[in-house]
Amino acid sequence: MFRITLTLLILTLFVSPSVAQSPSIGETIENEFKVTAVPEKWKNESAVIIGMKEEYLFSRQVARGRTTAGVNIKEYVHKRFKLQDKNAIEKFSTFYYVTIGAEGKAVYKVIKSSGKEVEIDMKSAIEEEQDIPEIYKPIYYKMKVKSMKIAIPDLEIGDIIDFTISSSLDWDMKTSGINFTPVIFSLSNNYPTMYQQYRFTMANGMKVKYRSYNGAPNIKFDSKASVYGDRESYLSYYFLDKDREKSLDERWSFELRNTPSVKFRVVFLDYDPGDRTLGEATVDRSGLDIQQMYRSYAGAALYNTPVVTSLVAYTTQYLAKKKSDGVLKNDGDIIKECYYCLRKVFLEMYYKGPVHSELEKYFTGKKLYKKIIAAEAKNEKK
Amino acid sequence: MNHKYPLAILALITLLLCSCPGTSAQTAFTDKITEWKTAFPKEDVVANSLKEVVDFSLNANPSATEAKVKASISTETVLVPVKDFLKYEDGLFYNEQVSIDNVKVVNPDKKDVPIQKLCGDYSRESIFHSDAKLCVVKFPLAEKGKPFSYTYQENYKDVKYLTSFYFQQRYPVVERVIQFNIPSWLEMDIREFNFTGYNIQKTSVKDGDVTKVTFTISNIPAYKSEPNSPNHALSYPHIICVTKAFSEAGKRTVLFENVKDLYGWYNSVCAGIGNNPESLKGKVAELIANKKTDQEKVESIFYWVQDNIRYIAFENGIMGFKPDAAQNVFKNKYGDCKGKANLLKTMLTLAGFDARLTWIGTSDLPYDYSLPSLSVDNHMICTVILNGKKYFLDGTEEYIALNDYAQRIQGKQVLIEDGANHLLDRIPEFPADRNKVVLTRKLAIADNQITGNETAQYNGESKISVQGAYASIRNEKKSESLANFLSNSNRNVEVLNIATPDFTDRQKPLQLKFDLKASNQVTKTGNELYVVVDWDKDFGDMEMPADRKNDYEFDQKYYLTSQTELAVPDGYKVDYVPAAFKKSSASWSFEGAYTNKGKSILYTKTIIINKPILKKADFAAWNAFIADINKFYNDQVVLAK
Repeated sequence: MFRITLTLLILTLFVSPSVAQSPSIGETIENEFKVTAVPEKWKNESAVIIGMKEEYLFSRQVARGRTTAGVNIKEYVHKRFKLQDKNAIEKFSTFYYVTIGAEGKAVYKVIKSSGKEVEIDMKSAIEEEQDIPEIYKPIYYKMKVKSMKIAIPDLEIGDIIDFTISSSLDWDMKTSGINFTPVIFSLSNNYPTMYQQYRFTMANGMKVKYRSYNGAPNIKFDSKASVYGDRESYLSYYFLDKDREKSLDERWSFELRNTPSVKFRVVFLDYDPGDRTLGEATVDRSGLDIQQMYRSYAGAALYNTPVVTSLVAYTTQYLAKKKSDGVLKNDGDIIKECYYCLRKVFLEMYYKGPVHSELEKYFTGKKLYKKIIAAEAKNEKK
Repeated sequence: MNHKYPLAILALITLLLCSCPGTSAQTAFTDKITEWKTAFPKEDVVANSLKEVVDFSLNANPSATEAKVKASISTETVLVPVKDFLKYEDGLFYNEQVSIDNVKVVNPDKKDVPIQKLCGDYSRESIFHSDAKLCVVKFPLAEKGKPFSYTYQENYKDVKYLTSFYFQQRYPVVERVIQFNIPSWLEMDIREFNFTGYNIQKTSVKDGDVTKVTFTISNIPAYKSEPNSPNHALSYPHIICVTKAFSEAGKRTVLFENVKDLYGWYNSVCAGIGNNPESLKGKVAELIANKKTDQEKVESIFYWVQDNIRYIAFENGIMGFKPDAAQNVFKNKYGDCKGKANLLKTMLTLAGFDARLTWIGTSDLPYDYSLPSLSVDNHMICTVILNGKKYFLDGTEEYIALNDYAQRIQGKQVLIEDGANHLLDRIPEFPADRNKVVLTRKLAIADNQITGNETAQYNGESKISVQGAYASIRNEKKSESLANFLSNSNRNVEVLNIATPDFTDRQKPLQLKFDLKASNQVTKTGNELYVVVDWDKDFGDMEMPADRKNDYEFDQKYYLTSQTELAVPDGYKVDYVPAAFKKSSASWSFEGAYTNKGKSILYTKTIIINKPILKKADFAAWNAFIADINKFYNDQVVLAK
């Protein structure tokens, strides 16, 4: 009996777990989400975000044992707010949410100041009826997008609301491309935030392109949350942010320029969606790839019209003059002058007004410049 | 160029195209374009005709959701673009009781035009969920002058929901017709509203078993959406049809013959509310404990509902008329006007009071209950009768005291439940001084800047609106917003050291005390100081534009009085004060005066707006009034060394 069991065990070890079990999302609830008190400095705020977490799982779809061009993207959003004034009560007394996919759902709890948890019956949520235009029907129906709304009962100042929204979307790389939806946002929210986490778990052959700005945290690899298999692995990356003040509504303040912000996009590594031999999911922090940019825009160089030809000729003439004057000392100067030159012509073409700059003098009376403007005017008449 | 067809065939086709009868319509209105562009300079589309024909039918076997009498409105519009190749867009509303069918557009060549239709839930800002739906219909128009026939049908399952017909549309109409084909078995009353000043022709012709009542008006301009416009019902000509009764096989059945019938239906709907007061008992007992008088008990319950039940409206089907059960509203802590009125009634009844559901049309509606129609009211409150006196409790108001009434319900007739019967009464109407705002300022001049302190006292509607706004602002923005409000958003005025009062008190006037600094109000020229004492210049910017089409509705009646004492700086004496100015009419008045008291100047001002709606006919007089006020405001005090 012992020998049979041992043989079976050895056989099992050799035969079975070559495929890693697909990880799940939304299972780990960090201790930060169990907090009920807010820091003293935020006691006078309308509301405080106690916790906010967004998780994404990108997994390859398999048909008859082979990976396909399909990717399943799962999203899990978890938010927890403390409501501290009437404004917040009014604002959160109705909850609007969107789920994607047949399994899309929302779970909503209210934690009373006594500590009692009340789960809201989401069966009373109302689906907003929308007639989807014919052209979008196949996409919408496939995605099973639902716009829902529900009035939250018995909400009082001091209550904590805690909700999760799960969605699932199938992405066909053949039709929708290998670059998934890009995201850019500020980590400063409408309310002060005690804790926020964003997490990407990706199957082999994917990478998350990630950049942080203005002191936003960098993305980290999480070995514990990653799952390794012989045929397929899932690597998990995340970034955390804590104790973040709310965004300020100030004049001439652009949120993404002034506050800690991140941008990211998950992409597939190769153009061959069926290729399984790609490396592990990784992070790309390199930002702009000059070669890729060149590939993207190289075609534009072939765009040839009288206006473009004139512009190129005129810009070249202008830069040659500048160079002979000894003004252009390096590549940066050339690019800068090239930009100013083109901007001036562009603005005068489209806004019909004089642009006062040091180029003005040089441009006035130039034959070629007049030719460009005339060519553009002719084009417009057409 | 390659010709696919021989030239002869092409010539024949061209000839045929030019001679087909449909093309004669293509140019039918080209000669009208110049005239229409002059008459309606801002419009892209004109309807040469718009006709609605209303037919009625008896439903032999009505289903559970249908009534015995049904109605249908067939609408045909001949749309003529005044500009080339526009895309026309229209919104058709429907709901559980009304369906839209047979939408069709025919071009000048008598061919069907493809229609883009996008239908879905229609959301109004104040309603969280209703059965109201909207179909947005889009179709292309051709060259200017070419007419398109646009037709559709609205089918009413129950004639009681057929109510208002307005003459004006989003576009001008050359000939507008509304025709009722009233069969002999139907008794119908057609009520006319705001017809004065409009040349609307009415004819009545008997055609066999049907009486055709037709209203016609020509060259009616488009409705223009403008800020502070009163509700359409108050000023635009319209018809409300009252279907009184019908006869079938010799039996006469009453529908809405008078208010008794209307109440009967409301009462039958409310009979199915399903109140279960058990869960409310504890809260009611808690609220009235330690309250000595009946009035205190009523106040306690009324204020609790105002403070704790949020306004979230569900108007899905019959829920547009039937209040949600009291226990649901109590548990959810939200409800609409009906839910709040029913909760108040149930709680007050538990506390031993005579409380009743009450229907009312707000100031948005010009009707009273002599009109037995579902369009007569749009709101529900609760009436409590204490020692023979009726108190009207509007649960949707915030910070309103018992026996005080918001502008929107003042003077309006109410329909009060009384078992199988009903009562009619009227909400008291208050003069403008209910909303009195009293400002008292003490000012001094130092370094060409005005400094001082102010006490602002708010009453009535003024007080309630400040309290409501303050409560709705985010905690961390309250101070900044309050300072902004007190300075009238004037960047020259800095408000400091605000003594924050109790913003929740319903009984006492709201009083705010603060210090202020005003810049750029003093101009020094040689030995003289030119001083602006009244930088608020209330109503100074309220001139009505010459091209305004609608009456103007103020937020409330106003009674604004201020008293400012300006200390004359050492070394200066009063050289000049503007002459006193007084102007008054039945609807508005202004009184302003400066008094030289030697060491100080006393400036007093009182503005009263007695009527909340400024009629278009009064715009000229109003603008002259504003011009006179501004003349007074722009004169300055002069102090000299």
